[in-house]
Amino acid sequence: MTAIPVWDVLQRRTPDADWEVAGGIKAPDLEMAMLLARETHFRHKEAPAFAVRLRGTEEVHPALDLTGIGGVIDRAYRRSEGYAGVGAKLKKVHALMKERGLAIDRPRPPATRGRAAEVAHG
Amino acid sequence: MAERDSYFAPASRPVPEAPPLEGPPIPDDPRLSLLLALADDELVIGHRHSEWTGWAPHLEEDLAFSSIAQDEMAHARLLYELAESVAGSDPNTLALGRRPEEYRNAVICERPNRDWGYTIARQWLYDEADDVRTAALESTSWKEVRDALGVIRMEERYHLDHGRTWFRRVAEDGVTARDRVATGLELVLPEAMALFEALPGEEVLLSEGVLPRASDDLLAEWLERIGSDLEAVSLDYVLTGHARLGEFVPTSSGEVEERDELTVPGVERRDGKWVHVGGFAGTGGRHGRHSEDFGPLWKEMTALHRAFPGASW
Amino acid sequence: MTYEEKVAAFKARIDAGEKIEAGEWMPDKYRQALLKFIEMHANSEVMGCLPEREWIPRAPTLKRKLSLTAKVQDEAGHGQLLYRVAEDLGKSREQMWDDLVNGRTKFHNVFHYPANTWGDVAVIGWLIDGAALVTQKALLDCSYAPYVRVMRRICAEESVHLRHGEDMVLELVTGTPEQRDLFQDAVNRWWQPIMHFFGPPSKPDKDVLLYWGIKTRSNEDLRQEFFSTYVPKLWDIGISVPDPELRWDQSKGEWIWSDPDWDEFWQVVKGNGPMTRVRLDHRKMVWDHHAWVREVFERIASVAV
Repeated sequence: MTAIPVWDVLQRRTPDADWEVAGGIKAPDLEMAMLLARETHFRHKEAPAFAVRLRGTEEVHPALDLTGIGGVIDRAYRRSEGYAGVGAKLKKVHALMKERGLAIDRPRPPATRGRAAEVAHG
Repeated sequence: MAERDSYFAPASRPVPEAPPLEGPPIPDDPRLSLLLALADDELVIGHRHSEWTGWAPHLEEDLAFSSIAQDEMAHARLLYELAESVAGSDPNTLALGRRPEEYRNAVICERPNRDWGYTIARQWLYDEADDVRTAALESTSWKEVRDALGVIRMEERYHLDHGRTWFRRVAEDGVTARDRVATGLELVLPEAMALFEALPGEEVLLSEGVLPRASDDLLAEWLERIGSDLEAVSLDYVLTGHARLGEFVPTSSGEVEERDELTVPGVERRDGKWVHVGGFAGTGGRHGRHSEDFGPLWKEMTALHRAFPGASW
Repeated sequence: MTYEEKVAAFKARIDAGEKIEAGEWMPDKYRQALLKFIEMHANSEVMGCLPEREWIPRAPTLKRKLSLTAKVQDEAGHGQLLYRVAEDLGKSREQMWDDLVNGRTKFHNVFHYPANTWGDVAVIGWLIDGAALVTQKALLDCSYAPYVRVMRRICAEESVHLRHGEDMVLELVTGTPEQRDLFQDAVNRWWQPIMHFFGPPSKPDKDVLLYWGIKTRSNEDLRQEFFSTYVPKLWDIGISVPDPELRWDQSKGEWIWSDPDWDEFWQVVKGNGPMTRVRLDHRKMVWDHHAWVREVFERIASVAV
């Protein structure tokens, strides 16, 4: 049994930014590391550029071509913009259910409490 | 058969019961037969790939196959959008609301995933074939198809890269891994050739420049390409060793008229390259004639759509 | 410095809000608690794929087929990220996976249950993911920095899932009466597992995860936040909650709820849930049959690096 090495997965947040660590993968060699890093870390168009680096070494291996990663045609369903307007839709449905006499009106905490369920992409 | 089926994850509940479909048949139109062949291949193979989602034997490959699955199904959606005006049905109805014999995918797309060796073999051979035909269609006279394929091909090259890399790495590995993928290739090959079965109305498509090259010509290119890749890793014996073709049966409705089963051309090595000898006989997926595996797939894929006609989800 | 002094200094750093990095010295008790916790989290992500993935082949529209594939894919992706963090604490992913499929380690109770209808998909996508996000957001304050970095990405993806789930729910409740029933019926069946998900009220002073700053909030605190976020929304869309005692007590400033069947909870925790065996058995079959795929990786590594 040979230990499969760990590769740091690096990304640039903008085309001019420095490399930063985005995560890691285990892969037997550079070719597989590149392939698996692309599939695991960049399917939502997380960054304009990525690279891998064998853990404990200095050499950065950038991906040469990123056209098409994360989809060229519509992939909005994968990202938050695909669901813009869901909050407003809930309000409309509430009004509709009130109209139909189905909405349940019971005491509840003030609206600000516990409603911060959203987390921004960071 | 038992082993093949065992890699399906168990479902909590059987497929919901749903009535058969009513409504007008899909029109007989050469252009539609081209779009549906492309779109149904992508939908059905995407459907099979997505059955690995959450279930693949290797976590990174789970993600890779899920991405490929989404790409293929998104391509199908784009092509159904183009077909909408010819077929008179919206994309969801085309994808999930046709009778079994109205699906035009090649049989290779509907086969269950079996194991990872079969899955990798099929993904590689399918995406090589898809690359050959979409490259040819880049010069189609039909502008909308040309535009759509330009975008689709930007995503497809990652599938090709994925399939080729895995094929090569596994083929260069030890005996067990080579045997797994070779077994897969032997099963996939004859049915993958049938991806190039002539389309209904192909002469019209050729004469109008919609289809720039005949299916037969595309098959030759594909075979030469994979033949040299297989030779490079000394697995070319699968080209002549395959021999078998899966059983073809009429689809569940029983409405398919009796025709001869599809048989694929033979394969030989001539003048340093692999060529097909003879042509196709009978009819297969391009004429709506599917394998015994399509009925259950269709039943599951369309059940909710059929059970709630006109519902919004 | 004696071992006890080193441990005390480490604990003081955590109490002061400092973050621990991978590779730093840490008391064995901390490492063990952290590893066990992250391993169970990772196990839950991959087992959490299974109820939903059954409905990918049955999705009623192309859009839902695509989005459900993407959603389950994200869960598998979270498993990949979390196992990577856990591996750096000293246990290989292969070992963790082997322990999981052989029933030696645990995963969250909610993933031991069947997904019977598309209504279940909507409940899982909105309420189960909502419950998970409440607990996962709390982990952004964890004392272990590599875990926090991964949790930032996971929480961002989970909030997309939540909107996706809410979107599915809103379509069902405004659809045909049968569609509404699919959702109400699923809520009725899933409410108890959701209550179990937050665990029995625990004694914060005895919670080793709170002691080491791995978790920063108690079970009950998180359950109350879940109620406040989701119960009003369910009521607004005319969906009832199958707990006759559930109500907001203004004077106490908290939700009153009735105990679910905790015996069932402990049965599920022990691996006796309705779908535990069948899901683990099939995972094990896929795992065992595909040992050759893992061997390919090992052989490439032995010549490559």
